[in-house]
Amino acid sequence: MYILGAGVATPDVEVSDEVLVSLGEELDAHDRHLLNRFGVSSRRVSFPREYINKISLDDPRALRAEAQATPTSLGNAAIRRAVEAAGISLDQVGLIVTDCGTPQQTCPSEAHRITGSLGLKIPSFDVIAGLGAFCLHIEMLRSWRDDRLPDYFVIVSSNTPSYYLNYSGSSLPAYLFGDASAAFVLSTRVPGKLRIRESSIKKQASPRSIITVDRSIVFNTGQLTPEKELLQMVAQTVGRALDKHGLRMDALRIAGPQLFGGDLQRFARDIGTTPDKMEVPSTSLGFSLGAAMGIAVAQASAKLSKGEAVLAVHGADGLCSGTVLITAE
Amino acid sequence: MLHVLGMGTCHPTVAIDNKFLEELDVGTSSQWIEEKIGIRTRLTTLPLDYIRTTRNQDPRMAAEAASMSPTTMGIRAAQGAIKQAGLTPSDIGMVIVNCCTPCGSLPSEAVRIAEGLGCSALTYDVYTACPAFALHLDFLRNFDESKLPKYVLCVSTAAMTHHVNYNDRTDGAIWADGAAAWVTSTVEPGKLQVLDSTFTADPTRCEAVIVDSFGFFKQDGRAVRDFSVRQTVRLIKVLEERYSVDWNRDVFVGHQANRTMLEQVTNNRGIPETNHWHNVTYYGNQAGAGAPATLSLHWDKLVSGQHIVVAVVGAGLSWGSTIFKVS
Repeated sequence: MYILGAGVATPDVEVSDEVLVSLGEELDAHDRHLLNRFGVSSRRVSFPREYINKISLDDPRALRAEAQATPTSLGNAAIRRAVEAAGISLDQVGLIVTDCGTPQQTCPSEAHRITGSLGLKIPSFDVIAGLGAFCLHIEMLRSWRDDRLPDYFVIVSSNTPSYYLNYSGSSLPAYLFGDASAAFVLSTRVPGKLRIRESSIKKQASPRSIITVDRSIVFNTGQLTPEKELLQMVAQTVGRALDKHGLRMDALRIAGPQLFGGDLQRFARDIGTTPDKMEVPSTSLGFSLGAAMGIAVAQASAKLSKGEAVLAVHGADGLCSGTVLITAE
Repeated sequence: MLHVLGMGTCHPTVAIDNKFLEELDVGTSSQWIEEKIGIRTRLTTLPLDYIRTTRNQDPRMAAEAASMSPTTMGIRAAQGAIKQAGLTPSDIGMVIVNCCTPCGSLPSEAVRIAEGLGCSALTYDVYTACPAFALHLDFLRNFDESKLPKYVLCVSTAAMTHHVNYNDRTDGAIWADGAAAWVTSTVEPGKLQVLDSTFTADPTRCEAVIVDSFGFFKQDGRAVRDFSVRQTVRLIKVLEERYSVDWNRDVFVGHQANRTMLEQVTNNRGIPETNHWHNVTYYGNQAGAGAPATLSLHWDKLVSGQHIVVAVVGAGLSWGSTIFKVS
């Protein structure tokens, strides 16, 4: 399977730490420590900057009236960019598989809303797996029979957590999350520069849910995977990929867990690489749930030269772990 | 080849009858409901007093008033399916779930249901609303069989009444709550063999049926009704020709949208009432759970050699079909 094109879309509005601090009390010491560890210093939101301190989660209709982006509009934009990058036309796409953890309507599916907004009459449906969506979508489609896949198909993850956040200035989730969408055009028949060499997804032995989205987003910090454990998992996955595929560490870019960008120097050193090989766009865009890994992969892939590779390593949500290895041909 | 090894359902016990809806005084009558949609009662997880007094004007309160969540119904239906398949939750290697009224959007409904079952399988939502029965089977048929675990659990669950505006004279008459589950295998033969399946969509018409995350169900009734009948007939015709369906022996199960829509379909295809299985008259429209729940409730009536023709349509707009052969 090949990645023929990638596309990313974010809302235009950027909110810095300074803006959030100006809205209320600062984070307490524990949350400030976590934020430093995650390394998120700005985020994109779907609302005008002057509106975010007025957001009331009790009035979703008023909230939507002020919004400048939705999961559908971001998904639409990301797919258009991915299709353009793939050098095909929209009407050549035969299937769209979508992940969305923040839908505005629970029916129809987000896949149908995005596909409909593109004017396409093709099969589409949601496959929702939270933060592991990129690895799951790839592994799932690589498990399909080739004759059941169209020539070109798209995976997209689109999330707008800003609709579920209270921007009071003292809420850790408000600092962490950002809105974004990432899409990829894939094919098993048309070769491209980026080849998917390996993928996997599996349930973690002791699953626990770190992030829940209901009427608001709850970030269960007590459930966080310990940093040491996560680092060990990434290092082992990297080591296996290097051995199995005969890759050199300096030819490998790592799209690892997106909530660990605070001390990249140390993180990279412990894995045996350098910070410039670690792709953590969440530090500037905010953490966009399932889209975050896709954005990291899209950015890392764009930097590859022939013979180099990107390894996506998922495992921070406490539910499942997954990997995708992409090489530049 | 994909097989269904066991099925299960869960429905609430509170029935909303037409007299109750008439007494809400929203411009409807028992006679109108019976003539227009052919539903006599619909099952709900909401207390009748809650509906009578609040008309569910703040749908966010429905979850708190309800006797069961979509997750609870999904777990109970799954337990029935797993038991009927002669398995235990630990045998299940993958769980996929369809739910158009989830308790929350993350983690997925599948995670919540698997957790309730005590099942450590890989879980994710595969979602399209009403035609989920066809989507899930077609989805599994897409896989290289060697890549699937031995047993896969599929669940479709919905608490549609939580999103009904009971001041609307039509919506309250249609919707119900319920769940259905089915265990599949490509390795072990089961009572139902999947001969064929389809799933597709025209998402340019996705605004025709909507359930707002925090609000009410809305639909373009006339457009959806015409589409449903026309598309269901088309799906059946294809299977009739391809598999020499004999309506004296074989059985039709459609999307349990409403009784009059199903009658239009069976009249068009010459399907006798005895060979048309449905539950919408007394259960109401259970969204994606309706068709599989109907089949599950008729499990003991399956006859060896019989074809079961399933044609389902719904939000998206999307549609799909499945034909089973009874072993």
